[in-house]
Amino acid sequence: MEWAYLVLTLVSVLNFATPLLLAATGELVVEKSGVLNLGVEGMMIVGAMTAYFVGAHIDLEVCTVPHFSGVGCLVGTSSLPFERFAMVVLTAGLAGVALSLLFALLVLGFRSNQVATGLGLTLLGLTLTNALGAGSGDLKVGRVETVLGTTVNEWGIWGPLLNMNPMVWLTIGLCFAVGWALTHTRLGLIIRAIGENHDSAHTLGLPVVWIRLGAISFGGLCAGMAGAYLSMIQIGAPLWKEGITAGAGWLALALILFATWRAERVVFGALIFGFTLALELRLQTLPGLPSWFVPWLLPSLPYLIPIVVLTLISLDARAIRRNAPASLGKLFEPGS
Amino acid sequence: MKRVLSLFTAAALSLGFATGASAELKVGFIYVGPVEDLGWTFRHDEGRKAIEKHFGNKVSTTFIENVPEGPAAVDAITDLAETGHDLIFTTSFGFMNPTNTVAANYPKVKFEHATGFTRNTDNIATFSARFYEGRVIQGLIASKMTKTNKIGYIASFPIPEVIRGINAFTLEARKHNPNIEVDIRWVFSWFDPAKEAEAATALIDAGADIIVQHTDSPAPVQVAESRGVYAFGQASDMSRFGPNAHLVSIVDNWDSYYIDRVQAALDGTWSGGATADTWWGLSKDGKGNGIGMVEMASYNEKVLGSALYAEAKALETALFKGDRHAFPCAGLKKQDGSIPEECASGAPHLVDFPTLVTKDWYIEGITQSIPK
Amino acid sequence: MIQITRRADVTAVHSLLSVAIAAVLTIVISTGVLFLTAKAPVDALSQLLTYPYQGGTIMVQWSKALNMAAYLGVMGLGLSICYRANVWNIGAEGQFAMGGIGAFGTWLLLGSPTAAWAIPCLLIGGALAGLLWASIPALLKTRANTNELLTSLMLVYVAAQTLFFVSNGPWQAPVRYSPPQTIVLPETVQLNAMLTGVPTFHAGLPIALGLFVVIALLVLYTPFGYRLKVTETTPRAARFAGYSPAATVWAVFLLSGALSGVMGAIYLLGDIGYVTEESNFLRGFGFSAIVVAFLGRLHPVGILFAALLLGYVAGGASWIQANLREDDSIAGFIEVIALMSTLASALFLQYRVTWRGIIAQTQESP
Repeated sequence: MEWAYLVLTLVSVLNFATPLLLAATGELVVEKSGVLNLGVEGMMIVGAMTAYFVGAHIDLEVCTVPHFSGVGCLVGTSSLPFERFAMVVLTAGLAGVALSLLFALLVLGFRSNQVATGLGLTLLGLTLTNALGAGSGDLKVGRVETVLGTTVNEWGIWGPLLNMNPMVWLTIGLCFAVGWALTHTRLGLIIRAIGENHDSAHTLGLPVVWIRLGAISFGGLCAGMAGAYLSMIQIGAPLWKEGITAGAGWLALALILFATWRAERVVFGALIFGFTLALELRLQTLPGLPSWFVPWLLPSLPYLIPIVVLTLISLDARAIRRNAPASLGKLFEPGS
Repeated sequence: MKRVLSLFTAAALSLGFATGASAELKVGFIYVGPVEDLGWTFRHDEGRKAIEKHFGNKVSTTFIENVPEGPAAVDAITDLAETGHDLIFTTSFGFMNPTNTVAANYPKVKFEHATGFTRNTDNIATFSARFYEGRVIQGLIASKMTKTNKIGYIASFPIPEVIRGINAFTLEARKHNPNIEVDIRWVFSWFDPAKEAEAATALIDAGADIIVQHTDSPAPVQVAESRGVYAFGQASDMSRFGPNAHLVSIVDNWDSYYIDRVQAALDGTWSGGATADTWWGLSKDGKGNGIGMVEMASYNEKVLGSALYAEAKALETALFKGDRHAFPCAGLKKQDGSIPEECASGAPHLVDFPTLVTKDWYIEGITQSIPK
Repeated sequence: MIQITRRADVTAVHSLLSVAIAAVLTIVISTGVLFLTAKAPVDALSQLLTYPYQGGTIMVQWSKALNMAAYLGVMGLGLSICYRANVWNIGAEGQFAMGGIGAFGTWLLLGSPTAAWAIPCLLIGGALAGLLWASIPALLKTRANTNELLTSLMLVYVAAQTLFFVSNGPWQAPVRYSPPQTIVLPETVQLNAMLTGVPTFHAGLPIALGLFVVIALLVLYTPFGYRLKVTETTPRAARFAGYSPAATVWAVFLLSGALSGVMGAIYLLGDIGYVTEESNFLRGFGFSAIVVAFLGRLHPVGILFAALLLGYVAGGASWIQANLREDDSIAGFIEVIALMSTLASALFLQYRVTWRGIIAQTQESP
């Protein structure tokens, strides 16, 4: 095994891990505040579509080659500068926030069931993008510029890694920052207190509903931005198709279980998940593996590992109490 | 209240018109992917547009996209039959059983199924293209362009259609350069850009410097472009996704077959049933007459150089005229070293029908095995 | 100032009122969405409502609607039992998939019989497979106190991967297809169509209806149903009454898992005939069943209507797509809008919502 191949594999791993990690970071805060939002997949896909369509309109003037057989123009040659890409990502995040606010309205305002509302939000996201996402074939979206550009070869085997989109590093940083904030800041303490026991938090005079509204919006922001990574960065060129998330939102939820609600473990878990995803096509031609390993076990691992980890943690009543928000998914009824 | 009433009368009136369509023939399409896949489904939709353009108001067309290849397809095809469509094109291999199921229930409706081989009733015809003729040209180009002698091949499903593409490609490539190794990765999907991109990445990481794809999205060409290797376009012209990477595209061209069949349906000469199977290659009859279903588009002359470009064009002409066959028997062996039955009995090349339709063995020179 | 207080007494009037609010909201918003998105809204709306009477064969359309309603209804009813007991099984999609796999596996185990006696065996095999799959989260919940919502959901994806594995691996048909699939079950062990030319109107429908009635009676009129009701409304009382929480978890999980499993077997025997990879085998019934359970307010009668509504709307949406080239996403929109409206209007069922300012004003006016 050569070093160059390992670095390239790491690039693939990070490429798969980043959108999962970003969405999971947002959902971690939501769950820490005691709310379970199963709408991650929905918010992510709306973010992905928004990014692509905004990217198409923000980038119009760089498209100079005339139409070819009725579709678009040269996608490969134009490039989207970072500052515009940042706007695209932010808009996608805001689309996620918009969806999450609907969830917040129902769950916090109308006291609806969190499970049903979250699933409804996913359904809404998939339906919305199904209805509005048609006609993307005629759009022109430029490739997001890369850090090293044409100088990538000067960096040797490290070139592909250094050339990754900055979102990768920012996401890892964000996750650690959120983990730190949850444990070391006053706001983090308040969020955790509310997630632990919303009734006593309410008695202490903490604004349960407002804090949760903030957490839910943060979750929407992260999920929407994660969607932008999927449609703008993941395959190396902008691409939108219906159902592009393909379960990434659910993987993000599994990731939090795997990490038992701890930020540094979320990062670690994201790498493991990314690794299993990247391994599938790399191990396919390896002789000697049992026939069920690559087609069945490998793709199932991101769902099986969290079940095992969660079970082991749950067996130890103290461990689960230390990390899992006790009020997760429970109805908050302030006495009047 | 009045407004509500008028809304209902409008609705009632529109009911009358909805069924009394003015077109002579209603043509429906079932697509497996989205029209925007820029590959397989996109080209079928171009064929649909060609019908509209050619026949004008005489024919009306509609389509249902993203249809899964299971019971949902039965429902979708039934919907088209129930809404009065006279001719229905189902454009993916996986619609074979659903098409036959619905066709049995609607004997007056005509069905055209792409790339299948089952025609249980007289109202089904099947059609496919000799895509492997294009693979021969790709094989030649790849053999001359590779530096690492490793070719990455992104395959969809281990079915005969895909396997004969791999065989045709490998046979020609190894004829010119016996050191070539073809690395095949299966994505088990026709259209999954993320997985196709990952397959391309994994292949390039493993040393491939040319990417061949038998999947429908432009993602592999895009990956090849950003990684600085070469790639071939599939189903539609994908040159714009990789101005430097793209070498040539195999383009599916259904336009003239679709127009023929719609014309036949209008004239009352349309027929289906046991023998109604149409295969066109680069030329309609394989002997140089008429434009077929396979087209080579956008040779990248700048990258290929004039000598290789001329050689590829000459090969294309030979295949077009039938002077060359994709599977000549001379030296042709199966992966296990045995000689194919027809070659053993003295045929000059493999017979297109029916052997190629069901052939599921690799030729000699491929080291991997077909996934079980 | 809005004030929300929990109602001590939830009467039938409140219940009807909140259903009425949800219905009005759904109709108004859905019509609005249709008018915003459709190219020919009036045609689309009228055909969406009357489509069974527009095509060549009325029964074709009705049977499609009823067929889908059967899956959603039975699985939704099973899930509602879980939710009443405060057990969050959201893995019906996976239990349904395992039901299909289990039925096919049973057929292979029996030595690929071609006689009709195999049909009940296959249905039981499917039910058992669904039950076993549901017993995993039940076991983890009762033994390790693991959150059943998350484990049942994760198992959906493992089941989906299993579909791909069996149809592409050990059970793959000798003649390869794309997508990969097993061989088709012989016609003699399939649930035959009860009407020629109407494939989806098969013997699975009466079976599903029978199951629905039996389970509904169980919920409404037996001690088990009473126990569920106590657990739902006053969990503390359930404990005082001596109901073991673990036994309840087991009972509801196994029952709903078996129901999803048997529906998966009916789907295999009646609608598809073979096992194939998930994107072509699964149609999201297991997730829509959750929606149906909530739309029906966890009550059998409500669930019946909700299932029929979603089945009818899905048929209508695909009809207007085929006939008018409208987008069929309207079915999804109606499902979401109905769900959100029902969830939101539940507030008025369970709580007393008052606006102090307005009350003060009305008291002043003569």
